[in-house]
Amino acid sequence: MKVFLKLLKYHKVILLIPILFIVLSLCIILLSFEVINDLPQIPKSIGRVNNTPPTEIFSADGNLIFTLGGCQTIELEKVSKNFLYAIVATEDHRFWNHSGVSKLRILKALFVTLLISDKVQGASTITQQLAKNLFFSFEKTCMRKLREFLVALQIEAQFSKKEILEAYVNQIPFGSGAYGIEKAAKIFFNKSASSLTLSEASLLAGIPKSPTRYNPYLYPDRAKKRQLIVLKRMLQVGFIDKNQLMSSYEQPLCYSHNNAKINSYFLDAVIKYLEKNYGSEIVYHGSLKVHTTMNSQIQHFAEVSMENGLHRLEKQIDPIYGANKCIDSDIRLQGAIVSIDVNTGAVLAMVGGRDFYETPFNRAIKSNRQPGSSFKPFLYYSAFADGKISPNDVIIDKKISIPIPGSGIWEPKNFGRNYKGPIVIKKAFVDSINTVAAQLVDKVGPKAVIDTAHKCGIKSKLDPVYSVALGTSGVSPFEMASAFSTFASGGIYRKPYIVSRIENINGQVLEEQVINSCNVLNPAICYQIVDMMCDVVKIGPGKIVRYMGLNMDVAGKTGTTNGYNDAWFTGFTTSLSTSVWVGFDKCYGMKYKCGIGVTGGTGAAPIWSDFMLKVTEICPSVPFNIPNNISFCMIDPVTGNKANFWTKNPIQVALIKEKSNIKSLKISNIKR
Amino acid sequence: MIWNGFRYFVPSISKKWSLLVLIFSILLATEIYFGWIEYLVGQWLRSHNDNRPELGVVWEIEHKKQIASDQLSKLINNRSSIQNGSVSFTHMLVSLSEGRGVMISYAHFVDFYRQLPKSVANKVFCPYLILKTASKQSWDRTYFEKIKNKINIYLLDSNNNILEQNNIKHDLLDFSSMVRPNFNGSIDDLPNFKNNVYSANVFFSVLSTLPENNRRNIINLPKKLINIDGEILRVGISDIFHSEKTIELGIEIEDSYGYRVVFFHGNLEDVNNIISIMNNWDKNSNLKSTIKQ
Repeated sequence: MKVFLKLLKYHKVILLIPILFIVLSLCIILLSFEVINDLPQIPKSIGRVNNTPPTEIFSADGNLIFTLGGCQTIELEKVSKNFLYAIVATEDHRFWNHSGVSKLRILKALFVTLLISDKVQGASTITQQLAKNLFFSFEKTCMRKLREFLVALQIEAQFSKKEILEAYVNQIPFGSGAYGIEKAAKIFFNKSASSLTLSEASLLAGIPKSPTRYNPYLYPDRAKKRQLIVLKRMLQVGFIDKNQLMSSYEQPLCYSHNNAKINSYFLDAVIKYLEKNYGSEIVYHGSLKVHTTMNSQIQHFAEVSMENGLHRLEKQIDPIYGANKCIDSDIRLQGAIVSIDVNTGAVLAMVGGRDFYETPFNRAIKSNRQPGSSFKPFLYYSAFADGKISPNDVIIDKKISIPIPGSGIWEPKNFGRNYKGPIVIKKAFVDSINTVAAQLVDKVGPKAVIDTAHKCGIKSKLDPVYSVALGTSGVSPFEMASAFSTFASGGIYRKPYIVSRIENINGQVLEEQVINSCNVLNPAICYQIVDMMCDVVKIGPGKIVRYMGLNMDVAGKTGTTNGYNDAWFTGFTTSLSTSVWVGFDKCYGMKYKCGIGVTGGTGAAPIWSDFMLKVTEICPSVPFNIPNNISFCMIDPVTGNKANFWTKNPIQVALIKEKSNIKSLKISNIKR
Repeated sequence: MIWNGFRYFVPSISKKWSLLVLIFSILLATEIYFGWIEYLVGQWLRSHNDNRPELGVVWEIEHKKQIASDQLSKLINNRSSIQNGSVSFTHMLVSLSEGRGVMISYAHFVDFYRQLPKSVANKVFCPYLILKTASKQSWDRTYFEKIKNKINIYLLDSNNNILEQNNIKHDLLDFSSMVRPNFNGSIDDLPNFKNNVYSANVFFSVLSTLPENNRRNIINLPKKLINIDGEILRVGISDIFHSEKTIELGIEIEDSYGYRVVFFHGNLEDVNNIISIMNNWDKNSNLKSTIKQ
């Protein structure tokens, strides 16, 4: 000490300290005058500023499934004391004593940051953090820091400590879309901030330091370690004792799983619809009440069926077949499912992929994949509507080549690469014979097929080429489910919709969905198509539906594209129309380990059946309505003649009464 | 004592400097303890708060909230003013903006439908169809929407299922036939109008100062007036209410064939409002017309 005093005695350095301090202060004052005009105005009230109820999205069964925007604030008195102690101990234990900035913390932070390499320490008080959260971006510049400093001083001068703490806890970012303790408590623990336990409160108090790094969903271990740090701080400050620390740390935490992940493809579609029609200001700050058509239970079934089905398929398929073309070996098999209420057009369930956060691309709506043979009902309807052929007419399944003007010769092949010779139209449809479909499109023209598809609800642009009848133009599962629901309802098209009603916070209606029905197809011809699709499920490539136990009236059509890139099954009952697509995003083929390709019947139909088996328990269906002018007849599947005792494997056809004379129209004389 | 102590550390320091250092030390110590500089700066900033810009996240949210609130109010008001404030079928249809719709009750629709002239009613829905739909007893509401210059009208049940629907091209609706035919003669020849006759200049000047919704409630088909040949001279307002909510307005026009009066239906409340504005105007400038201009 004496040595130190002696040193001082002979130096005038001590004089320099106040001079330096004054110069520094003057610099800060001048700089402050420079930034003062850019400082933001501080609102008159700060405690529960921007308190706005969020936009709430409800399912059709009345459950609140998601909230958007808004700011849920809570009075300080109602916040759990555990959380208040935890956050003050962790972030700023001298909060009640300082005047906005903590000079000791600044000195300590300067010391640590300047003298200890690779270590940076912050010195922000709760007031400074509040100033940053309310007014500033997160850029780290000296000017921003100075402004934040000055605003913090004003906040301290203008508001009480209680108001400041209230504002702070209502603005803290916790990640996962949670701003403020009330929303964080709801998201992470599905409870109000008033009832947080010490264990829960200490975990939440640790998150604001780095909401992503300490996110308990993503990094539970890190979050737990951070919780221990918070509890130790509380112990140091004297808010808790050792026993409380131990018991809180050891207490298992029960996180809420009611987060945005579930139903997110559906929600994503709803949010996009809202943004498009109302703009982001109204959607995120307008406190709307949005009633969707989603049935929570059916949506859950769809998600489970899709995941189980894809999981099963992934185990069965040959990874090499896809991987030898894949650049990324971790590309996962994807799928989509859309289920529509036939009687209203309401979309009850939608799954656009396996995991929204992994790939937010909504395959249910936005994908544009070839539907393959599942497009044939539009062709057959067009051919029947043309009036020259019926399900009982005979056609020759043979190798064909159709000259296309300007495009050379089109030679479609059958899936099995063989030809069956004479065959009735219905059997050709059930067996999905491409050469027959090609002859029909040659007869009616691609435009008629496209017109029928558009009438039924296909919105995608379809190429006016012959192969469109075999499903070579891309469509989405959403369109397919909608278009098949037109067949299910006897030819009535109902526009599909996902939002049924939107209200403002006072319950005044902004939008209501009108169930628009248009008769677009002839009911009798439509029934003939339905009847043929019923046989696809009974005896055709979709018979797995029956094997899996779905014994009610169902109709559907499988679809498989070249190289087994896409597997489709779209089918319906009288109450639900559902489309399932399975495939890789980058059009890699799917083959089983035994070398056989994955088809609509083996890849998509089991998922469809699994889903429909569960759903039909809550959405009962009735037999398909048979129009009065329809009669049934058993015929020979080869000759088309009326079946007798000796006919082998006769099939039943639905015929329109005025045309029901059994004939044997030979289309084989078509010049091909 | 303190002085001597200080001199002990810095013997060569002058008294003046020593005093300065002493004061500084006291100030520094009190600042560290009490934080009075922070307090003063804070208070000074507070006193200048109102002059500073509304910047930052909190204000951005506030502005967005305001925009959302304004837009929503506009949407709701527009919808409810059409829904509840429409005095006639015509009024409701011309008030509809593109892409928007409005829902009215079954009774409200029937009330409007009854007022329609036969030619227009047939275009909207055949009366037999209305009877048939009403007899089903499931008809609950009626929805109108304007899409691409077409008016879609849906008769709905309580679950919004469409019972009947019709599309009418907006232009095909002969709105002019929904009010009585023109009168050939001067407005002075119509006794119901003689108490409230205003010069066209005053009427349209006052009308132009009103909000768009109110203007539409008074003259719902301004294009009809623009298309008329001749000069608009005066505007008369009838003494007799046309219905509970409407009142008749007569526009006097002079052309090469002489005088004639064209009729409109205006919302009673809005027409009364414009009358009171015009009367106040009249007191100031004595513009109320008693003689033909």
